[in-house]
Amino acid sequence: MKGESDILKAIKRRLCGERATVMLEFAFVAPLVLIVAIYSADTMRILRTEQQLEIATRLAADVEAHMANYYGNGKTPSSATKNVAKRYLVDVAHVVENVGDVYIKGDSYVLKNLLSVAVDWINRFMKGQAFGDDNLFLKLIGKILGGIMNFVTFRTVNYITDVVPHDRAVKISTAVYIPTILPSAAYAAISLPKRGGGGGGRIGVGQFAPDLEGGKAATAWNLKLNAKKRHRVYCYMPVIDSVPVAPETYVRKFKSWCAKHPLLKGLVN
Amino acid sequence: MEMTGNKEWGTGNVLLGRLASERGSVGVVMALVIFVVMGMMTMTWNTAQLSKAKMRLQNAADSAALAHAVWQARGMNAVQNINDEMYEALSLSVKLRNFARIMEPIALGFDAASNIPFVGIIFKGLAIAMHTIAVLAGGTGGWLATRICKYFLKWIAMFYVYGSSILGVVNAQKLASQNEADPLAACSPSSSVTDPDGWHLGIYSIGVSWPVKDTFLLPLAESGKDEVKKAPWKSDKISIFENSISPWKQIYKFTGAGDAWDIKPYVSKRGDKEGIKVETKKQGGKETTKVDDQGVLPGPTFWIAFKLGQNIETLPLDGFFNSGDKDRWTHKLPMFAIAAGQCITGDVVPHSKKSEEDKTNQRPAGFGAGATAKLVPVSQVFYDIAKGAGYVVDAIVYH
Repeated sequence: MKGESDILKAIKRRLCGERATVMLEFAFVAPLVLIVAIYSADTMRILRTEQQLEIATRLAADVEAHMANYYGNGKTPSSATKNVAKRYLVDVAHVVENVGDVYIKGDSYVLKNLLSVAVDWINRFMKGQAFGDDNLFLKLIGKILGGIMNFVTFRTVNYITDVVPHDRAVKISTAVYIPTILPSAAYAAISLPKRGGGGGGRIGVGQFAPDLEGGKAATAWNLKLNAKKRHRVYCYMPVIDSVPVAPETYVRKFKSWCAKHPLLKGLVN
Repeated sequence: MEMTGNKEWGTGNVLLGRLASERGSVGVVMALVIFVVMGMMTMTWNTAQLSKAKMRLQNAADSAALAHAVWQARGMNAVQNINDEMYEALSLSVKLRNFARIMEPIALGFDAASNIPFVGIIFKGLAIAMHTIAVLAGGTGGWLATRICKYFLKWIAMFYVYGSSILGVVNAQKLASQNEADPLAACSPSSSVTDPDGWHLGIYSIGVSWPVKDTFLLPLAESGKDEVKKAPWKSDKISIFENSISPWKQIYKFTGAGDAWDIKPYVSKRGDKEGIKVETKKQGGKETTKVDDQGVLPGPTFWIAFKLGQNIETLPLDGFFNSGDKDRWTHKLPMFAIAAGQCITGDVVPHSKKSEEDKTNQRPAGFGAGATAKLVPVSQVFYDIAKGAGYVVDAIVYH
């Protein structure tokens, strides 16, 4: 017991000494400084990853927009896009120290604008469907009017409306796991700032175009992802229809007819 | 040593004693350290918020610039499709006209032979038949070209050029708005409801399409001095009917066929209103023709998104420094972002050879159609502007 009291006395003596004070200060301050340093580094790394993910996603969407134009279908993302995009997304994977995988999802949309609506109506008019299919009389009137318009314009209106630029877009979204020591709640706070007004609602950071599905769905998904320390970036990219397939106009039909006729073949060839 | 309760030392001595003592020094150090640490965390948080705000602003500018350029590209592709149709109509009319050119001399020969006694009446009949065929063929060709190209496709093309550009501006503003950028028109009374100052400064985007001269003055060349000699749609001026003694030339003139030969489709090359600029040089006795291909339509679109009253949310510690501010938890920082997009056209040439051969009428990619859009470095826009600053004024006035 005597020995123990000596030890206690020694401890008390050391605690009251100058060296103990320094140790105590260090013990309090060091974790704080460490936490702040890691917090700063983590925050900056998350930002950097998000920026790189945004760039990569935009690139993937750009590739996909061209693929959609080339193939002319709505199946996105294509395997080619995934391959190309993931090549570029390797950099992002490196950012997350090779522990994260990059998920790519996508779909294609046809956006409606004034021109698209007008063109749709003209197309239906030319096909005799401007007044609907229910009323036979109106359908007949529509067909007659469409036929007259086709004849007067040498069917070029039909040609033009079929090659008119359609306002199409592809949507690509990527999600990546960002390892961080920050708790999920803190990460979510950083990753999902409140956004009000502007027509965008609460939408994620890094989008190149707003989420057309609505703010609530995006928020729910983002919260779910953020809880797992995952970040999502989505990007809409417009498709430029540059290689349309044109129907035959009357001019082309006449030339084709002449080309088949032995006497008139030389006229058009 | 008694530190407290000693009246002889007095209050001042007590404080001096406490300061001289090492007891409680840890607390003082911790208070200072926590203050500094909180400051550092605030700075980090604010930097993050600022970075995110900047990203959003840049997105607004990028999406606006790209959207504008995309619609310009769509317009260019539509124009190219119209050009293709123009070529089809014009080539058909030219072939019909050439057929008429063969028939007309024969008819004139029959006309001359009609003076022969007895059989002259037969030659006269043949001459009338030949004239009829020639005028019908030539007139039909001219009528086709005139009606289809000059009175129809021309205006359709103009509609697409102007329409797509306007749609580009509208869509750019819309996208900028959806990316949390308020369009200029959104300085609305509703904003004043939320803002006590009655004035709301959001993100504003301004778009400039440059050079608008090329975009909105697409050359529809009708006859001119600097006609393109080797243009595929160009054919020689028909004069045989003009000088003909044929009584049918009035019909020919009535159809407007004579006007149709000078119609040229829209071209995308920058130059004068006459179309593709051709430079002819003589080098070593050899004449070479060069097509001026500097720049294609349209020029880059230039969008600036800026926000003068950007509110950046900060940590509560910030209020320590701005306790008197009503928006004590926010900073108001001016920010701006610049983006440039460009419609990259394939040469919008007036015809497609493949469409002659390929019965599916599918135009090969890269042969005329295929205009696309992309974001370009802003420095490129400034470089282009430096080359022709005169156009910028027009651009700003337009928008």
